[in-house]
Amino acid sequence: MNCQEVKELFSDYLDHRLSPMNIALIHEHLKVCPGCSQEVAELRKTLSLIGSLEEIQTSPDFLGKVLRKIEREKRIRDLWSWFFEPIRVKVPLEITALLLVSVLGFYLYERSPELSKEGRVRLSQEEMQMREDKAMEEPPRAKALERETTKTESYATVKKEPEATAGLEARRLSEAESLEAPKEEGERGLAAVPPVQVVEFAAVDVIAYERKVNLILGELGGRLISQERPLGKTLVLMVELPWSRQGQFLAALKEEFRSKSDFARSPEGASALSKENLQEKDTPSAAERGLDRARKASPLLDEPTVKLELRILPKE
Amino acid sequence: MLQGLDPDGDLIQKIQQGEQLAFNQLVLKYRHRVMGVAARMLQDPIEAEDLAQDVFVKVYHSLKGFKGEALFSTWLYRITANSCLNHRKSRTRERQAKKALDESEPILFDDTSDPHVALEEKELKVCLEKAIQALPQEQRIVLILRDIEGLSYEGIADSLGVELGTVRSRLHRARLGVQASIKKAFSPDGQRSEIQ
Repeated sequence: MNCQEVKELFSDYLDHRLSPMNIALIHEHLKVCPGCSQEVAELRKTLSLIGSLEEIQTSPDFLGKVLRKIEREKRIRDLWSWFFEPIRVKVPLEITALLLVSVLGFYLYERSPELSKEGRVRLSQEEMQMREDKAMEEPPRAKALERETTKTESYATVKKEPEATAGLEARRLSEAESLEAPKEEGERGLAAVPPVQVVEFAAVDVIAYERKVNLILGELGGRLISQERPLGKTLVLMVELPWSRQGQFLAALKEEFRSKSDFARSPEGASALSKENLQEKDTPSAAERGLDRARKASPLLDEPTVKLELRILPKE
Repeated sequence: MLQGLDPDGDLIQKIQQGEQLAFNQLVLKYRHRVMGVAARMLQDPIEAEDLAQDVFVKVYHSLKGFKGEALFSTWLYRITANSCLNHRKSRTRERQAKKALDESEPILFDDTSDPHVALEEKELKVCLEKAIQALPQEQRIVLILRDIEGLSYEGIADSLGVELGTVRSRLHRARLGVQASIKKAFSPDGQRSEIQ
């Protein structure tokens, strides 16, 4: 054996793990090699010193700390076991319960008018029908709701002409006071524009009938919001008046237009109307005073109101 | 089954039957040994004690499954060694521990027992602890289990889950490493070349 081979076996030699033959070979080598003899002696000493190192002690309360840790872990394991064991039974049940609660919560949220955004704006067909039925008799219960209501069927059926609508929109200044501003593009028509009923009349003298409308409005506590002649001959008036007076207003208009239409056909009537027009143009008349009064009237504070779009078409 | 030959066989049986006092006795018997391994591996006495406590908590929960195929002490050292090797400490604490190791006496070594112990011997032991702590982890654990705790080569191989040849080579390198460190510490200028 050479020195390298002997040194590789020092640990086994010192731990008495070598066969007798190998031990004898090492002894033979050590007799003739002082270097290896010194090294093995030093290694023996090192092992002795390592073995004499003092025991490292734990703290006095070591056992107590161990037992407390065990108790704490036991509580956590018991809790886990209570919640999730047996896993095949409890976990599916808990997931199902969680899903049911989530679905119920979502359902209640959607159905609740206070919470659901769609609930605020969506009116059922039955509710719409009810509103229409009650429109002539009494103000609707939810007038305030209607101010906030977005798209409704009545609004959707209003006959619109793009230019007329644009022109009217531009001159509706006083409307904004009582309405919420439209929020987004998609909600503009839905947000706060109340339903508007369109009424059409055919008249010989369109201008004259404008004044008549103002007179009637003034008497009934309504007001003229705007007027427009988008198509040249047709006069479009946007009026507002109390709900309770809507029926009276429409009836008065019908009566006025029918009687005036018949009267205007006769030669005497045509002449009289033209004179009336001249007179009315020259002097401040009751019609103009009525117009002024109608514009100033503000029935909004007293009771719910309705807006009507009157289209006075020239009669050929 | 070695439970009949295991000196701790009776205690184990009692613990498995639910005797709390038997477990307490087991903890009191082996706490210092587990602490010794943990302290020399982790180089931090606080973390070492915490780890030692965790070892016994693991023993408590795992004892039901202990079938006596190895000695209890071997099984215990296996849990301890694996816990030490898997332990991850914060880098800050590691740097602090290393700094303390380099600059002063080892944190673990506290020789306040006998004032008459020769200064040289005290210095030697301090140097020895430092030398052990400077070893790589794989060599250090083998040296501790063999030369401090007295486990057999086979017991160490079983505890660490390595081959016998691996234990031999790591142990040999660890011993030579410690020897070289001591030689260097006591004869830096080459004046003293042997350990007395």
